[in-house]
Amino acid sequence: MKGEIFIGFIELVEREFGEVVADRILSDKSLASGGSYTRVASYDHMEMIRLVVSLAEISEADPALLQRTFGKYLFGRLADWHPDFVAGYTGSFELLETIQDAIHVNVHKLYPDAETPSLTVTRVDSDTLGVKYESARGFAHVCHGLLEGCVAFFGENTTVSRTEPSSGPLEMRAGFRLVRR
Amino acid sequence: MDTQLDDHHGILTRKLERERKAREQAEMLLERKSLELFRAKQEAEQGRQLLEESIRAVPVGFAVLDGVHRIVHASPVLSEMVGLAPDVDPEGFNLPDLLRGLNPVSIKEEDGREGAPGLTFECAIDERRALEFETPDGRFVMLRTGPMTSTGRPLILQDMTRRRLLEGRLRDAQKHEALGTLSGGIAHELNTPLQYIIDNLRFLQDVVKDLLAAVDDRRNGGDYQAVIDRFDVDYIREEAPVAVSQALVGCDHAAKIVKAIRMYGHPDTGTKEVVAIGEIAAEAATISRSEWKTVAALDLDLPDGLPAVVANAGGLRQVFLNLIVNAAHAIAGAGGGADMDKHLIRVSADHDGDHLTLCFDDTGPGIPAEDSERVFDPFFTTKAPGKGTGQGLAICRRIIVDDHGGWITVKNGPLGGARIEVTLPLGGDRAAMA
Repeated sequence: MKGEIFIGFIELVEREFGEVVADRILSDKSLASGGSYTRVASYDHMEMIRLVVSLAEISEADPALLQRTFGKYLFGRLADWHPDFVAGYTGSFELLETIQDAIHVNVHKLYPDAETPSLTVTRVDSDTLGVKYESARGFAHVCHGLLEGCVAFFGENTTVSRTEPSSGPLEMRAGFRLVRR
Repeated sequence: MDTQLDDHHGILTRKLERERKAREQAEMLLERKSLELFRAKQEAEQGRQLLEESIRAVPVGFAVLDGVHRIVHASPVLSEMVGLAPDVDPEGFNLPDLLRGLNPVSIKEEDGREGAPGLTFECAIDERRALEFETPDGRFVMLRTGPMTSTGRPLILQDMTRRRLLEGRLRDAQKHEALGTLSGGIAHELNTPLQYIIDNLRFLQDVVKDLLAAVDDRRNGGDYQAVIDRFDVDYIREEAPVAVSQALVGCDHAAKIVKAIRMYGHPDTGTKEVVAIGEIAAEAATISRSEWKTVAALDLDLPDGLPAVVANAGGLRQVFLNLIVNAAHAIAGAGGGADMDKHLIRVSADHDGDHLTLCFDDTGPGIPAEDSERVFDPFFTTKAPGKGTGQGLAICRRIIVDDHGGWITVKNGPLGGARIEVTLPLGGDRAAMA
């Protein structure tokens, strides 16, 4: 998993929970990286799961909600770091419809070792978009937050909902429906 | 308060340590990536040089076009082929502008057929077609393009002059080989009218001798009626004009054979002209007579009023000769000579508004289905070893398809043997109109 995902997570923890909580979760001896992350390196995604679990234990917050909040924050940061990837899109639907064939392709050109999730995007009608997430890493809640972050980035009045109820904190598959109001 | 400060100091110290480690890791990674990038750049540069030198070295013009046929990159060979001055960079030129100095010759589809009527050279630039041009210095170049890729449409321009020359020589060699093979039979065919002429001239020689003797007798006071009776002048009066007529018929026959030989022996310049198919067929029948007359009858079923064809007469003569001789050999190979009354070679023709179709049918054994695709391949022959070089039908295909934009096919015919169908565009191809 790319280092910038970890950097984004730590930024959010420091901002929302303070540096003491951030220090506690990063001082976990089981982290192979020693809690040091740089945007240009890649790390085992299990470290991210460990960080989320630690944060949930310390903050007593719902791990699913934590991930979703993180996803929403992360989209904005990714857009800051990679403005070219979002430039030229007029809305969330247009961006999501090309994410698999254009944005993920370019991510792989830039980072050949990147492991992007599988997103199947279907236009249901002019105001409704279906998105299917699949990844062995089980970050469906992060995906939910990223979709919300995408809608917020374009300043749209669009709702993002799950097509079926959540089954746990780590989900490998999930369906979403975006409806423009 | 002090404890709080200590805690805060501890947090900052650990954060600083984590940041320091992260920076070290980032620097190490960047250094490694920088080295990888350097090596990749070196490899890319080597690859670029190799590609550029290879493109320069091959004697083929190469270019890449964008979506509107503008030159993105072109090799020096291409510039030289289209007559561009060495100091002029072809990049940015529109391809049609770049080719303006060349004389369009032909447009060929993937299967070798002539491009659709009315198709312009500009519109024909497509990976399915080959475009032939003549350069101002008399060379022939063939332009082909590949499919559009993310980097553009590749184009090659190949000098076909030498290939054309060699093909012409091969064709001439095959023609002379055919004439050589037929020479014994042609000599025999020529001998028949010559013998006829000789016999009649000998008769006329005796007649002249008798007439002169009769004149001498009469001058010496011989009785008129006695002289007439003695030299059988009435018989001479009756037979001499017949002998002269027969000698002239023999001369005409011999002249026809000689003319046909001359037409076949003439070097083929490739020039296209308006040709009469009936005359070409008759010449081929004359010159090949020794091959078919002992195995089958030859029926030239060519209706009057066939439209004229713009074609290379020499090439068509070669096609007709090859196809008639092949039909005769096929019948002979199947024992046709023993029962020649039952065997027939028929040349017929039909036409619509755009094409003239010639059918060469025979009563031979036909061509097995498995061979029908291969009979036009060079060196393919169904004849016994030493009997055929396998060039005849390959050359026919080249003459009909490549030179005339027509097509030639083989199938089972209505006479029970093979049918070779030759179709020619009636307007001639672009070469004729260029």
